Amino acid sequence: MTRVTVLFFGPAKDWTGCDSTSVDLAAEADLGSLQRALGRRYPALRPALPTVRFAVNETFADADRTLHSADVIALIPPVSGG
Amino acid sequence: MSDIWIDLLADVIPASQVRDFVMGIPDLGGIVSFEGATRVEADGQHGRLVRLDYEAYESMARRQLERMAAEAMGRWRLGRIAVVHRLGPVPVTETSVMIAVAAPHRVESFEACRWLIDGLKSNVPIWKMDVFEDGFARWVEPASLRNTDLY
Repeated sequence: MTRVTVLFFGPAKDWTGCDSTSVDLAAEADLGSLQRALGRRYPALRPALPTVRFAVNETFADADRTLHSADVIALIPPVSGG
Repeated sequence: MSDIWIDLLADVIPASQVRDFVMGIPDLGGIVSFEGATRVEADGQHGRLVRLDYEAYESMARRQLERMAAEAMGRWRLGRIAVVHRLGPVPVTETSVMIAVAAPHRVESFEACRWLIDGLKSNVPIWKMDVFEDGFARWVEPASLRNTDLY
């Protein structure tokens, strides 16, 4: 089993109602399976999922990225700095 | 002293310090700086925009800005880069972001400064909320949803 922490920023906190959560995934799970798990847990997040990016340990990552226990994942809604 | 200054501040950006950081180096003759400030807007329902509230994934935002500054140093012949972003409330007319670049000549400085602000706006985890005079607040949805250039 792989247990990861997921952080929510900006509008993502409104979609989930929290600023972080912990998710248990199968061993060797990838970022895509985490996305699906988050969509099941937070229905309000589903419409936004096609527009968000994910970071693994503070670096942007693609859906096929394999996750490991203790990884810190951040859900990054479209950014609006500057 | 490092040639790169990256900062996220909860207070007014010290513009003269940012400028001083890139000035005064004998072989750097082209100095460009950019400031982005909160601009007033009117909303039919909620009145005038009074401020923007910024938040960041701070540790990653710093890393992203450091990566971008290091990449800019490699793309152009630059001597100094400063990128300072303010977080929290930024009232209308005040600066939310300041970038300053020094290079031997102006062309590199202009290009690098533009590249840095464009990259910041698409690939650095910072978000802002519009706050209006009636207290209504909403997250800003950026016009261009994503940049394929991943760091």
